[in-house]
Amino acid sequence: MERLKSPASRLGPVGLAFLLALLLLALQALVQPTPLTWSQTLNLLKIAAVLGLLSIGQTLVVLSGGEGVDLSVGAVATLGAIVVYNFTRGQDALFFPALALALLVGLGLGALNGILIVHVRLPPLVATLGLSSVVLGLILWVGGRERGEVPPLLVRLVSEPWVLGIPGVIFLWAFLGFLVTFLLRRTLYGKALYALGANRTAARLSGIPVEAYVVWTYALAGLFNALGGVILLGHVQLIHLTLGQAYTLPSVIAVVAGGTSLSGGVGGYGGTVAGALLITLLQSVLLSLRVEEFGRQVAFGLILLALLAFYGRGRPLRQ
Amino acid sequence: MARVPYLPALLLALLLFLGNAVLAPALLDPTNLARFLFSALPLALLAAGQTLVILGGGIDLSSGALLTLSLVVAATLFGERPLLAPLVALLVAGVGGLVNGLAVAYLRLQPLVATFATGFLFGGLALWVLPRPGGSVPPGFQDLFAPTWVPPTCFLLLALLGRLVARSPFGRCLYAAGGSPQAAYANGVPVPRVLLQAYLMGGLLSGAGGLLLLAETGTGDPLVGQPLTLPAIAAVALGGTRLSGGAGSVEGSLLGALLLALFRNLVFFLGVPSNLQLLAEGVVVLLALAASNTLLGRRLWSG
Repeated sequence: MERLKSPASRLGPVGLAFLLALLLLALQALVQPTPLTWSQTLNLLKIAAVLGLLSIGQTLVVLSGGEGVDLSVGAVATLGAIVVYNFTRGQDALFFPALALALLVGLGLGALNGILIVHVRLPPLVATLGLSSVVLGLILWVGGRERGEVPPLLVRLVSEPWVLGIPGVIFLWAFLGFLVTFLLRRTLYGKALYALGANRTAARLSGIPVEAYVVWTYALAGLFNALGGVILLGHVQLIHLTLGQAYTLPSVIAVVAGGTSLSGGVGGYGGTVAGALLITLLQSVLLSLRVEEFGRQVAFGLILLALLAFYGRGRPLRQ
Repeated sequence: MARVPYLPALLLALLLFLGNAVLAPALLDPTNLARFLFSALPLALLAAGQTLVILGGGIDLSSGALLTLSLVVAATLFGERPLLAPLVALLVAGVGGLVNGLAVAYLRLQPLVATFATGFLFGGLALWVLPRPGGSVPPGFQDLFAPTWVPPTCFLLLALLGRLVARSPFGRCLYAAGGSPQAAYANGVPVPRVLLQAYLMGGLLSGAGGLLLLAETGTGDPLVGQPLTLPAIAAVALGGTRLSGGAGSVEGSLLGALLLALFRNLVFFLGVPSNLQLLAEGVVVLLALAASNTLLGRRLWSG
C-alpha cells in the first residue's frame, strides 16, 4: 500500500529548498529596519552566485558516487585566481590566455584527484584532501612572491552591471547553470554519470568505462573550480592566499541542502542552486539579527542537521 | 603483510626517526624526546578516537571542534575549581560524542555531513564559552606531564587500550559493524548501539586530547583544535585503517600520528623555507598514503 504523501515530500527536496530560501528572504525583509531593496536583493544573489559557481564541480563529483566528495575546491579555486592575477598583471590583453591557463591547471589537478581515487584507490575524501594540502603548499610557494593586479576586464565581466543593474556574475551563473543542467540531462556523459553514481557495478556491466568517467568527472570539477576561483577574483577584486578556502565545505552543504544524495546518482544542479541561495540567505538573516559568531555557527549547524534529518536519512538496517 | 596493516607506517616512522636522529640529533636527548612525544599526543588522541569511529563505519569531522570545546571548558573552569575542571571538560566531550552517535547511528544521517554540522555546533559553543584566547591552567596540572617518562607511557597506554578494545566483545562487534552493517545486523550485532559507543569513546578521547593540548600550551584558545581534524584522519589512513570501516587498528593510527609529527620535526630542523614546508608536507603525506595503499593492495575504492 502506498503511503500518503505529505505536501512537503510531494514538493521534493529541490522545491523545499527553494521554498525555504524564499521564506528566509521574507524573514530578511522582516528583520531588517529598512525595506528590502532591489540592489540589496541583487547583492544577495551575487553572493549566492559565487557559491553556486564554486559548487558546480562538487555537484558533479557527488553525483558520481563511490563516496565522491571534493575537498580541494577552495585550494584549486585560489590557485586559479592566483594564476590569472600573476599572469595578467592587470593587462586585459592577457586575460583570456591566463584564463585558459588557469582552467588547464584546474583540469590537471582535478584529473590528478581522479587518478588518485581510481588508480591508487584512495577514498575521495582523503585523496582530495591530500591534493588540497599540496595545492595549498603550491599557493604559499608561488602566490606570496609575485605582484600582480586584477585585470579590469574581469572586474567588468563579473562585478559591473550588464542590464537592469544586474551584475555579470548572475548572468554567468545562469549561463553555466543551464550548461551544467544540459550536460547532466541531455548528454551521454550525464546519463553515464547518473548510472555510475547509482551503481558502479551495474554501470560497468552495461559497458560504461567507469574509470575513465570518474577521472573525467574529477577533472571537469577541477576545471569548474578554477573557473569559479577566477570569477571569485573578479568579485572580491583582491587576492589573498586563502581566497577560496571558505568555500570548500559550504559547497558540500549547498549540494546536500539541495537534495543531492551523498551516496551518488540522485539529484542535480537545480538543487545546488537552491542550496546556495539557502545558505547565503541564512547567513544574511543571522547577520541582520546581529547574532554573534558563536550563535551563527550553532544555528548553521542545527539547521544543517535539521535539513539532513528531513531528507538525508539512510534506510534502517531492518529493510 | 595483510596481518600487519600498519607495517608501511611502522617502516616509514622508523625511517623518519633515523632521519631525525642523523639530521636533528637534538631529538635523541631524553628531555627533548619527551617534549616531542608530548606535543604529538593531542593528535595521537584525536587519531585514536577517530579510528574507533572509522572502524565502526562512521567518520567524525567534528573531533577537532570537540577537542577545542573540552579545552576551553577546562581553561575557564580551572581558575575556580581545579579538580572539577578536567572532569567537566571530559563530560562535555562525552556528551558531544553522544550527540554525534545519536545523529549518525539512530537518526541515520550521513556521518560526513552530520559530524560536519555538529562540528559547527561544538565550535560555536566553544566560542560562547571563551570568545577570545584566555583562561588559565594551574601549574600543578602542567607538572603532571613534565616527567620524561610520562609522554611515552601515555603512548604505550593508548596502544594497550586500543589493543584491549579491539580484542573485547565490543571490538568484535565494531569491526563487524564497520565491515558490513547488514551482515552484522543479521548476525545479531546491535549495530546502532555499537556505533553510538564508538562515537562516545571518540568524543572522550578528543576531550582528553583537549586537556593535553591545554597542558602543553597553558592557555585556552577557541579556535585551536579545528585544524587538527584532518591531520588526524590522515594519521588514521596512514596507519593502515580502512576509511570505509571494518579493518585497521588504533596502534596503526598512533604510528600515523607519530609519523606526521616526526616529519614536521625533520622539515623544521632541515631549515626548509617556511613557504615550502607546507608543500613538502602535503606531497609527502599524499605519497605516503598512496604508497601504503599500493603496498597493501587494498581496495578502498568500492567499484
